[in-house]
This record gives sequence, structure tokens and C-alpha cells, in this order.
Amino acid sequence: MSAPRPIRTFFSEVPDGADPFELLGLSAQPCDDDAVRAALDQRLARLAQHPQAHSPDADEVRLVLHVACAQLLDPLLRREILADRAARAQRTDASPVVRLPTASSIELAALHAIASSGGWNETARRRVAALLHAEQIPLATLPSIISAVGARVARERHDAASGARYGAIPALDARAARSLQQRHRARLFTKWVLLGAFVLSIGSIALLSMMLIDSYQRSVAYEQEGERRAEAEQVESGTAAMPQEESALTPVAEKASPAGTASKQAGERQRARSADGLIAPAPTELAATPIEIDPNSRAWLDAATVLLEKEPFASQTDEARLQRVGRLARLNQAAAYVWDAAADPRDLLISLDPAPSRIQAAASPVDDPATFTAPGVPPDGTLALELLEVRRGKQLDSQAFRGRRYGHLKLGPVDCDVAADSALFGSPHELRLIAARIVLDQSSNPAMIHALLEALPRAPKSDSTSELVMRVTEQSVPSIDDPSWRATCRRMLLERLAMLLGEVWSSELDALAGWIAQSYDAQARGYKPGMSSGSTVSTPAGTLPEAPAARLFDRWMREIGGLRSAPGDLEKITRIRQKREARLALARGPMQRFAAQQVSCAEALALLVAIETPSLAADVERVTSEALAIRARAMRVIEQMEIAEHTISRLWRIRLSREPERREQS
Amino acid sequence: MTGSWCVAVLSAVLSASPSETQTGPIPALRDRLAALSPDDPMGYFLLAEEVMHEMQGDRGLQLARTLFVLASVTDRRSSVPQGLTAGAALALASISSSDDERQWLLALIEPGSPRRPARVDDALQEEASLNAAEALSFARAGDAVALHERLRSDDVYRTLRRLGDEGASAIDLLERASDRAPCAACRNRRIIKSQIADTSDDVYTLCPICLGNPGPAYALRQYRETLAVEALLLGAQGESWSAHDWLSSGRAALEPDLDVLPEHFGVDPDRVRWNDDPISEDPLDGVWIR
Repeated sequence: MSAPRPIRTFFSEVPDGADPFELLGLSAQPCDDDAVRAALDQRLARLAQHPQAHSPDADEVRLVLHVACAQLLDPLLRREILADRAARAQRTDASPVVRLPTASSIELAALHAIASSGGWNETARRRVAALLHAEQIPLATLPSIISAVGARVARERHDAASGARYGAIPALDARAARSLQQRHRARLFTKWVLLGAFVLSIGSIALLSMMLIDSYQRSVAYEQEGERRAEAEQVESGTAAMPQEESALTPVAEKASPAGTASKQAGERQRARSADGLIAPAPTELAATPIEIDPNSRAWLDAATVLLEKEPFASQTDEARLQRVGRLARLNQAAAYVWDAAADPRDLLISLDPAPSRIQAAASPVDDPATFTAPGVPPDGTLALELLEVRRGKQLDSQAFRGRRYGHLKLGPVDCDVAADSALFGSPHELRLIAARIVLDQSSNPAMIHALLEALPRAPKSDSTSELVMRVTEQSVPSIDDPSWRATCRRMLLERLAMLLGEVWSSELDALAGWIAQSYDAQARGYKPGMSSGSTVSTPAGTLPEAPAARLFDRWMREIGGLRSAPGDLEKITRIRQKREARLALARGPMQRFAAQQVSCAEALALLVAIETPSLAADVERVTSEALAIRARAMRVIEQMEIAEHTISRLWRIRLSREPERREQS
Repeated sequence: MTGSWCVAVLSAVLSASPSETQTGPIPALRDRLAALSPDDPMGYFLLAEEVMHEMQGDRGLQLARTLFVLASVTDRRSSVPQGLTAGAALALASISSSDDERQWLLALIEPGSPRRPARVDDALQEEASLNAAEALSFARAGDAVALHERLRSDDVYRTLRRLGDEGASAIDLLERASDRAPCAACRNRRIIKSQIADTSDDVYTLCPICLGNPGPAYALRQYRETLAVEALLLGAQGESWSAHDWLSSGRAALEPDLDVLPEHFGVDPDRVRWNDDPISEDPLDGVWIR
């Protein structure tokens, strides 16, 4: 079920696809500016008396009314809208044809919105989205409309310099170029150049140009299609027009060729990849989907359904759980991109493929901690025997020992045990030095660090011990006079051992940490065009997601701060911050610290959605409290992470669908 | 209101820790337990304090914990809460044997500024923690002599008990290691000496029994557990997720959420009435019912 259209909630008499005249309740006749302004005032006054006058939907409708007013205050555009309306009525009488958006009017209104918002920013994005919503144009066409606006501005800029208008449109065929010339020539000098200069002056052209590059083909195809349809209608007088039902199912971009064909193929490719775990809102689908939720959101919601409802929670290994955390984090990154109105659908192609799985092949038998305490396996023990013989009085053949190098092989646990013993308290002194060198050669061998750890309680409190620990762990050691010296040396060796064992046996955790860090970082930064190119490049293993999660929390808090808050919101904000501090104080280690940040992000997002859409607050509260109660009882940190990330995905589903979550979905 | 309760309870807790209190039966304990009602959360609280101070042993402590939790639960559900939760959490912290649990309890009532509870014996505690970590090391190495030396003091076991379940499994491991005899062939020297026939020359060979490694063979899971306990004792955390996983065994941090309180202490928040066993002489023989 989709949300009711806001405009119909407040003005039930306004028909679907209403033009600015209908939105303002004006008859389709020439009128002056005063009449337009009076109509706007009348509409706003009526809106103010509505029970939902203070809802976000009401704000959206106000925006739409203002945009309609702005359109009608432009005499040129007013005439064009009247002409479009007359033509539409004529077409409706003649034969049922698909209604294509009147690109020029939408683009003009979009440019008005952008210009009046101070450039392409969050406000402009919302205004244009509201405009499209009111015009019942899929939000997915936003990129092409903005691109078209940018294209005009850029062309004007180029033409002003070269003196050859339209010469900078290489992909356009001659007929289309002529059509475009005829269509736009009259107003380009007066309107676009002036407004374009304004947009240029506020620095928006860079962003618009970036978008233009990616969607240029689509915007050209869109223009061509409009011209061709107009020509065909003129020639065939409506007899060859496509039946409305069929047309409605045919994507606009698909009808346009050759770019439309290419777009269709791309869409099919993307759909195919979708089955392999990619979120792929194909452009062709986006343009055709007759729903109120914008197609990018719909594509995301479909992907979310798979991840949120089809994958089991219970009876999973830690590794499987963590893989799921990674995929959910990616899904949430895509949601954030959709929310941030990613201009290019390609930017939403975010890989959900699992990160590299456990790398056991790299582990050698001597890395297995189970062998550290097991009886030795020959040839392990050969070096140990030589060292022990010397300690029992056998003549030390220092030349023979010094000639050997151990860095290229991994000694076994028995050899490591005796070498570490000998390095710390072996005798004679020269044997200690030789053994110390062996220890340093093996400082990346977990068995050697284990051996040092076991030998340390019996080691003398000396500078040589300090130096050995310092060189093996590559960290500074407190002075031997420091009361914490023994404990610190032991802790450092323990952390070194865990690091080496983790690299061999749990490297997938670091890969997933980097993966999750990337998703959180992308969400914290917010969408910028072209970001997708970086989103599929894995971050270095070991990159921790803790800091990006903290930044994302700050982002949600900033956005909450920018909204009109209700009584009690401040208390909720304080409580979220306090719980976050408490969690961080209780957390030990990077995984627990991330889990603390992550669940705080979930709470902050929940509050943000609840404040944004008060009608959904109860549902958001239910989803969050239920899930976090389960999380609070989880005994394993990865389970906590999975529950929190899953909750974030559910919150995104509510935010993007603008609907309460169905009970069975949870 | 809450603040005054905190102060009152804190001073009561500080003035008399369980180890210093008198022992002895609590008058009419059976009747007082039976009289408890969710309409009077203070009744649970006052009886909990009395039990905490007057009754020794695990059963007494368990009853005190349950009563404090029920005091908190019933008070929070009350139409006119008296702010007993803060006092209950402080009292529970005072009888907690785990540093983590104590810190968590304090975070429940003071979420804005959670802190590790200050202790006068921090230095001693660090020494005891190190001794416990080294005892585990001796156990892994099969050095029963050194292990016995460490276990002479109660510090090691007391310290490990503070760690909860992880500590309990470590104690079990230490007890088994301390009973273990050294290698029968080499006495844990790793090598054995023998004489070459017809000569007086000694020759050393690796021990044929332990092959140079006299320690007990631990399974991977056991080995990880000992590392995780050492990490808890020494505050080792690891810089990466993989390292942290080895040092924490994937354990989750406690959530600073009052709703978790009953479950953490194994208390059913809906069973708030005491139903004693009329046949038993022991007033603590009974069950909590709805």
C-alpha cells in the first residue's frame, strides 16, 4: 500500500497530474499576476485550516503551491502551460496516448526551485522532488531533468563563448537538433542565459555538469522522443498512437533509440546482476514504475525484503552473522544514497557480495595454537636440543649458530620454547645473544610469542628482557623500576600474540571490518555524485568502522538538530547521548566499541525518522525497542552487531516507504 | 529523591560490607518474605538490605540480589516510583564480584558519566591479576611446581572469581593443572641424558615421552579461553577485530539498560510474590510466583 498523495489529502478536488492552474484552483484562461497571487493566498489559507496543517505533508503541499505560483507568474511559461493544456485536451479527445512530461515546464520549474534555493543543495533537492511528486512524475526522472537544466546552462555558457549554439551536442542528429533549436531558441536568450548566469554565479554548475556527463545520453533521448512523438502525432493525426495501457508499461527510455535501447540493455544487465547480490535500480525500470514511492526507493525496498526477511537469524556461525552485518551495512549505505537522492542510478550499484572468507590456506601447522602445548613433532626440537646441550655444558659452536638464519622458516613450538628460555635466562652469555637473535628472527611466528609469554614469569627484571620484549612487540616498554613493568610486558606480548593469530586465523574479521567501515564512512559523508566508484574498492584490512560509525552518529544528530522538535525530543536526544557514553565506557576492544557506536546510530536514526514523520513515530518506536531489547540480551558481540544493523535496515525501510512496517515483516 | 536514596544506600553500603557484618538469623524472615507485595517496593528493598548485611553465604547473597532486583522492578512499575532503582543498583554493585558487572550497574544509574568504581586496593588488585595470568601461563606450560607456588595465596582464585563464567572455567583449568604430574621421563626438562655404551660420554636426546613439550595438550578452544581470561586480567584488547576476537572470545559488553537487570541476575520480573515451602524448616525454601 502506498501513502496517499499529499495534495489530494488537502485539496480533494485537484485531479491527478494537475497543472499549476489546477493546483491553484484557477480556470485555464489568461490571467494576471495578482490573480495568481490571490489564488495562492486562498489555497494557503485553506491549507492552514486543515487538521494536518502542521504535518510534513502539508509543508510539501505548500512547496508545491509556491512552485505552481512561481510558474504562473512567468508570463511566458504561463502561456506555454495554457498551450500545453489545450494540446493535451485535444489529444485526449482524439485518441488515448501516453502523457509525457512537459519537459520544458518541469525543467523551468526545477530551475526556479534550484535558483531560489541558492543552488543545488538539500533544499533544492527537496523542492524539485516535491515538484515532481505533485506532477506525478517518477522521482527517477530527477537526474535527467537536472541534467537537462545543467545541459542548457552549460550549452549556453559554451555557446556564449563560441558563438555556435547547439554546436556542442555531438550525439544529437540533425533533425533533433533542429527541433530543439526551434523549441528553445525563443527563450534561451531571455531566460536561460540570465538564470544560467545566476546558477553559475552561485557555483552550482560544477555539480550540474558532473551529473550531465553521466546522464547526457538519457536527456538527449528524452528530448528526441518528445520531438518524434509530436511529429508523429502531427503526421498521423493520432491514428498510430500507442494504446494507453501498453504505453504505460513501456519505459520512456526504452522507446527512445538508440540511447533508449542501450539503456534497456544496461537495465537488463543490472537486473541480471541484481540476482547476484547487487542493488540495481535499472534506469528503464525507474522511468516506468507507476508508483508513488520513487523507483530508487522501490528497488531498495525490494532488495531489503530479500535481506531482511529471507535470511535466517538463528543457528548461524559468527562468521555467517558477520557476513550478514556487512551485507546489511551495504544495504543501509544504498538506502542512505537513495535518501540523499543519488542522481545516477549507477551510484546505487553497491556490491552485496560477501567479503573474503576465512583464509585458512595461509596457515601453516606451526601456527596452530593447539600445537603450542602438544608434544613436539620432529623435526621440531632439533634446535631445542642443540641449545639445551650447550646449557648443559656442551661447548658452544658460535660460528655454526651465527652462520644460520631463521627468518625464512617458522620454528616449531619446542624450538621456540627453548629459544625464548635461552634468550631470557640462558647461559653462557653468548648463548643468550644467539638465542635472542633467533627470537627476533621469529618475531612474526605466533609460536615464538607464545614461548616468550610462557617464559616471561621466570625472566629476570632486566633491561635485556625489556629490550627483547620491546623489539618483538615494536612498542615501548616502561622502565623496569615501574611497578607495572611485568604486567605491561605481559600485556604487550599477549596483544602481539593475538594479532599474529588473528592475522592467520581470523583475517576475515579484519576484511569485514574494513568493509563495514567503508559503508559507515559513505553514510557519514552523504552521497556525492560519482561516489560509487570508490564504494566497491575495499578498504585496507584492519580499517576499523568505529570512527566512521561515530561520524554517522554525529550526522544523524545534526539532522535531528535541524528539524523542528517536539516537546520531549530534547530529553530523548540527551538519553541517546548518555546511553552512548555509557556503552562506550563499558566497551572493551574495537569490536565492542563499534557495537556501541552502531546501536547508538540505530537509536539516533530512529529518533530522526520519528521526528521527520510523526505519524510513523509509534511504529519506529516499536521496531527499535523490540529489536534493541533482544540485542541487550545477546551474549556475543557479533550477534549484537547483527541485530543493530538489521534494525537500521528496518528503519530505512520505514523511512523510504513512508509506511508502518507490516507486523509479519519483523 | 533519587539522589538522597543513592547517598543513603551508598553510605550504608560503605559503612558495612558483607564480610564485616554480623551473622545471624533474620527475625520472622519467612513471614516477611510472604508479606512482600508489588504494591510496596520499599518492602523488598529494606528486606534486601537486611539480608545483605545479616546473612552470609551464597544463598543469602542470592536472596539479597533477587530482592534488590524486585525492588527495582516493582518500583519502576509503580504509579508513584520512589527512585529505588538507583539504590538497588548501588547495593548490587557493592556485593558484585565482577568489576565489569559493578561498572555496568553504576552505568545503569549514572549513564552520563559511567566510570570504573574507585578502589583503594587497585595496586594490590593489579598484582593479583598478574599473578592469576602467570598462573595460567604455568598451567599451559605444565609447570606444576611454579603453579603451586602461585596458588599458595588465595589471591589468584579470588581474582578469577571476579571474572564470572570465564574465571570459573579458568579455576577449573588451574585445579586440573596443579594436580598434573610432570613428565615421567624428563621431569619437564625436555631432554634426557644417557651414556654411550663403553664410554663415559653423556649424550642428550629429546624426551621420548613429551618430545620436548611437557605441557598439557590443550584444544584450540581451551587455549583461546586461557588467552581471553589473561586479556581480561591484564586489560589487553587488541587493535584489530581479529586480535580482539582472540582476546575476547566474542563476548558482548553489557548493555546499560535497566530492562536487562532482572535477566542478568536470573530474576523473573513477573514473579514477585514469595511462596514458601510450609513443610521445610528453612525459611529460604520456597519459590517466587506471579
